Amino acid sequence: MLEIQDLHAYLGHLYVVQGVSLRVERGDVLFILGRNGAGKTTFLKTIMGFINPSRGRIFYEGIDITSKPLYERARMGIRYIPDNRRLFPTLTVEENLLVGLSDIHERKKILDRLEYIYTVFPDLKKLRKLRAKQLSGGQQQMLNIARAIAHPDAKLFLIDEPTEGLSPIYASKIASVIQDLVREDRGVVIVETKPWLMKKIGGMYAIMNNGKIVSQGSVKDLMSSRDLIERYLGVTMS
Amino acid sequence: MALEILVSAIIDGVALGFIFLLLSLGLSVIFGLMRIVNFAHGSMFLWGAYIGYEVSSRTGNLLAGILASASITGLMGFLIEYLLLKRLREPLTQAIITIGLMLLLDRVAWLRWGDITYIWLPPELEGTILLGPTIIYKYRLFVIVVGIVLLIAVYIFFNRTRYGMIIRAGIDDREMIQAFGVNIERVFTGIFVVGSVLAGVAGSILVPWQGVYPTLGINYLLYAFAIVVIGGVGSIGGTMVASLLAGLAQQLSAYYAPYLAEPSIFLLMLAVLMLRPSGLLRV
Repeated sequence: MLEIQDLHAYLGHLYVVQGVSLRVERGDVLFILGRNGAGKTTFLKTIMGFINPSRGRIFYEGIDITSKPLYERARMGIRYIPDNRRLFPTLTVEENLLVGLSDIHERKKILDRLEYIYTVFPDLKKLRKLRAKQLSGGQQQMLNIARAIAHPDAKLFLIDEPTEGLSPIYASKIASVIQDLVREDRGVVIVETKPWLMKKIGGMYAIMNNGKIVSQGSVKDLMSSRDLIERYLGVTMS
Repeated sequence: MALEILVSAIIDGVALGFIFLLLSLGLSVIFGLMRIVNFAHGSMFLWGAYIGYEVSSRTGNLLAGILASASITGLMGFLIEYLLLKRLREPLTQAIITIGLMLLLDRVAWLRWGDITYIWLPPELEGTILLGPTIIYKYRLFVIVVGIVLLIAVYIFFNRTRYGMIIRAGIDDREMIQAFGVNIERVFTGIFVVGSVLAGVAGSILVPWQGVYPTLGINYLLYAFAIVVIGGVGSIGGTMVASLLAGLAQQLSAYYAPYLAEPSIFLLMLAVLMLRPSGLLRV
């Protein structure tokens, strides 16, 4: 469903993504790994359309979306879940969810989707009238993910460090939501470096270093390679 | 005697506050969402006033004047955004373009209408009524009624409609809203048109009270900038509160200390900024 061909992108004057090619099919999870500054976030943002690539092509569902603006990519079913959340702080929890559904006009369909979200995240139902800025960090991250998965036509999720700074309970909840997305045959590209989360979700990995993919394969294989984990993830395996 | 003057001053202040609100709201939302300091906003107010005067005085119908102002300033806003600002999204360039437009539009108005102050009041809204011992001008009460109706409409638009919600979300984060499928360029054009319409309507409503003259636009633009700062830049609720406070400050000083009437809004701004540097209700 997603094919990246020789993608190059700059962040200001900094040459960050230096020729990345990847494929993600429906029902796939692809973990993008690498140390800080490897270009992971810039890569996700370029796929979403926040950053224009200097070279290369991005195909989504067989369509070349390289020159399509951000909002058109979102309308085609791509969602970006940023690590710094970027909620709409002055809007209520429910309004944040409704922004994600703003192109749906049937009231019943909107209510059904809200009900679905509240089933997945029951805490958000209790908090729905609060402004997003009043939520705790964990609650904000729930909303960040809920808002992206709210739309029934969202098919590809670009998720940046979803469990960063969260308690184990929230992190585990997020892992099970990602597993559900995969079960529903949607595609997930996720920047995450926690070995426990990768083990739980499974799928494929690609390691980025200095803007290039230096290794890729299945998460299962990665977990058996102490050398790769220690070299690129900065995690010491005991 | 003292109480009657106070009541009159408050009524006039509230009436003026509603006119400030119509003018400032567009300026505040345009800045909050589009990050444009729109110097041409006062010219929309000025043109709204002149068009309102022309159509109302010719037809004898105030509503016809208000509707004509709304239509023409809305069209002007659309053309400015669509033909100029949309193509040049750099904030400094946009600000300079709006300064140029202000000079041009105000000059054209002066060429057409000259230095004369025009005023036309519908006969049915002439005169005064007595509220106990207090004399109240009918037209100023009318402005308050119209202001309340428009205030409710604006509140409903921003808080109960999909478009209002998208605008508020866009003020919070105009890049992220696009990641949910919102074409922000269309929202920009829409909000610029709505802001221009509100300014034009405000101008047409002011004419029967204070008349229209060549420097009306720039005078009120400066008030509106101060009001936006008092309220907290981009804050819709803050602009509402600040507009009413500014109207009251100006009219109370006009009654009790006329030499302070002109600078009163700026003094209010200084006082608010000393206590709350980001305005009354920061976004």
